[in-house]
Amino acid sequence: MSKPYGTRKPQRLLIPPEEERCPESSSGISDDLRYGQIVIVAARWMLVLSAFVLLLYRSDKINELVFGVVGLLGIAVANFWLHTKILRKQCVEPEWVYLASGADIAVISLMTWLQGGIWGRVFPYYYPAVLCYALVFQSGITMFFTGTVVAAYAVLAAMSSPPMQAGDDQVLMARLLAIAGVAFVAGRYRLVEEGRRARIQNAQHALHQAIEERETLTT
Amino acid sequence: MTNELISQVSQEHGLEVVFYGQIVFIGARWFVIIGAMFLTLWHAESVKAVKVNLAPLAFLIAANFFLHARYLMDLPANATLLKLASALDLVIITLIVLFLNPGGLTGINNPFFVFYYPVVLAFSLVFTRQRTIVYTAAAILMYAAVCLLRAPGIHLNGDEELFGIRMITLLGTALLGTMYWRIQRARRAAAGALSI
Repeated sequence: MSKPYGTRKPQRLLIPPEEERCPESSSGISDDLRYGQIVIVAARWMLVLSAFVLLLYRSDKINELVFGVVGLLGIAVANFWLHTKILRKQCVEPEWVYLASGADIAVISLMTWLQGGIWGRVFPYYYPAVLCYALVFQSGITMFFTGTVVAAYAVLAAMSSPPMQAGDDQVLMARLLAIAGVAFVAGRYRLVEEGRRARIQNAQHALHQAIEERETLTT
Repeated sequence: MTNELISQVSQEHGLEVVFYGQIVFIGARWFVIIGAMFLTLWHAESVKAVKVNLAPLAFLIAANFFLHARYLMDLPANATLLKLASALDLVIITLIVLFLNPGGLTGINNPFFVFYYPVVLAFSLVFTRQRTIVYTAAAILMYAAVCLLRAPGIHLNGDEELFGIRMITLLGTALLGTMYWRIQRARRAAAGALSI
């Protein structure tokens, strides 16, 4: 049986307040983005490692291999830069994080296109990529990204080579629904957590006020 | 006295995590239901097939209405019920992969394995890492059994790569979800500590 929640060892803070080099007030970067970007970086390392192994394991087209290796190397370098920024507790501008997530989606889409659209084997990589930005970005941006992913994959499927047959529309719909489902679950959870933190802070604030009032009365 | 207090706080925290998190379960399950309904009714050809496919779905829909109504009434389902419902999700999705075969696509070629992703993600966002790993392993084993036992099986002609990508991304989804869960737990603790 696992230990109850409260008796687990305390979590190390990703960015301890005293070491914060870019507090929210001065940079305008949301807390969700600042704390959550390590999840995006971890997802990208997973994508790079597994895609690299699979690319070397079974690649029979030279174009696919060359584009794949170059694309993965580009992602790895960009991810290394983002990761070092986090490890050195420096801020990454939100635009770079958005751009990097867009690049993830673009590379997965490019690989899907090279593998023949709907017949592409790499489409499951969309799911971790979608879940990461949905856990971190604001709802509006998540909806925009998810709409773009769904539209891009639908277009790629329509351009499939060989073309889609009767019944493949069901396959496409299942994949698109699952992408939307993952984005919804992750986005909803982000809002749940936001609400919980706000409630904690409100409760603490109310407690402080009550203590202050009591102290004023006693003095 | 102190131990009792710590134990009580731990239990309350556990209940709180389950209560706040269950909406993501309910959302994930609605997506599975909508997807399965849509796929059953679209291109429906035989009445018998629709009836057979809708029977397990009706059960899932009723269960999700029940859980959603309890959530809206602030009467949370307990962790055991949530785990049972999650196990049921895995069973239903596996049945969908087994019996819904668009264009005769069975086993590893069946496209409906994608419904595992939202439910595994929802589980990882609510339960601890150990439980998430057990749940994901169960999902992987069930799917592997379907792929191995149903034609065409898994052959070393690219099927193993296909299967590998699916399992890596499913495991990755669970691990990333649990990683985020831990970060959020630390943030809540920090928010409480900073306020004090």
